[in-house]
Amino acid sequence: MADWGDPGVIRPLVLIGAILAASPALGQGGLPASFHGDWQGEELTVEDGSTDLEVTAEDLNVRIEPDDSGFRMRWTALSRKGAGDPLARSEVEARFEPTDRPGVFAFDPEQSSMLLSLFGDPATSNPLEGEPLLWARLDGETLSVYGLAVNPGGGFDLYQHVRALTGEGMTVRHTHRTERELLILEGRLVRAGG
Amino acid sequence: MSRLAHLPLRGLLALALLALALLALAGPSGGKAAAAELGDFFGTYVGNAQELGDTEPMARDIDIVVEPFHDEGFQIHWITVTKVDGRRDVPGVERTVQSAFFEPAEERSLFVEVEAANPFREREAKEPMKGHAVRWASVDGETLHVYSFVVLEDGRYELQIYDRVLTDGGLDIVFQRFDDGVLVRQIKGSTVRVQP
Repeated sequence: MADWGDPGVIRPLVLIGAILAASPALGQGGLPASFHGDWQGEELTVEDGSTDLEVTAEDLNVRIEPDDSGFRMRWTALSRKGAGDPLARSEVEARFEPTDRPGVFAFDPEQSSMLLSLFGDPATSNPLEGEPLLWARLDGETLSVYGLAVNPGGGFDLYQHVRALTGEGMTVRHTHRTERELLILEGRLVRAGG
Repeated sequence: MSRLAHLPLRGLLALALLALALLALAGPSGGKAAAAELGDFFGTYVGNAQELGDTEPMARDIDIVVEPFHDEGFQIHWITVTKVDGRRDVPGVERTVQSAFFEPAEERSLFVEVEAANPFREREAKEPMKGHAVRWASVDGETLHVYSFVVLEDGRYELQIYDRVLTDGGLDIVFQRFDDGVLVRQIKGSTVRVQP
């Protein structure tokens, strides 16, 4: 169990961040335009886990828009307020801003609206203070959006939405993991009006 | 009317107090249903563990020490010896020593990792998007969970979960590491409580 003491990523990151921060030419650029639009769920399957909520393909709907140097997304989050509470839908709108790291986008709390009862106040993105940590990652034509919240009892709520462009539309894989359960939804989306 | 209705008020009060006392006595000894407290985990444990994919059974020896830290926190130290062909006296054996220190979080039922070397320094603000590891712990039922979460440089994440579960004689352990949602490592083991 040697993993715990693997802090190798931390100091290099601070150094790289400090160097890149001095260069305004880096860290610019949002998403490829092919991601932008209203995407509607066409198919949904529960790949793993079970849900006490009847999920439908509409739960995969997502809107992605350019926003200055970053992008803005609106989607439906499935979450429990606490362990044992029923799974519930929440509409989330979030803006992501490019960071110094290529392909990595940070959540912009100033330009986002979220259900505060679900995520707390996302001011500093420190899950240990009850705030959600959200970020996004672009790898080619795959966009992943991540969220981590730590609830007051110490349990966690970690989700990972992976959306990949295809010739016909977009595939999606939503992974929702807590300390007690795992739920994986997979589906397909098409561009609205397309 | 029931017989109770004929008892004087003082008698009813005495009965109620007696019932409460009996409930209080029954509570903590009610068996496994009672949730563990942090102090229940304090102790020294020795045992062995096996990683999924290990060819040798019980290929690792483990030592765990859980102790108080400051007033309400805890520290945990663990040593893992990875054996070679079931032996720990031949070249190639690896020994790792790891420690972590936790204090209670304000107004939350969880523990936050702190630096043991600077116990009086105010906690540094965590900035996960700069690669700072987010580490915390909680007691849930009979399990002490310890979590470590890091956003990696390329935007993927690494989540490590260490569960130590109280048993009649010691602790069972389960370690899992997820890289961007994929389980890449899992170790399970059992230990017995020993005299420190």
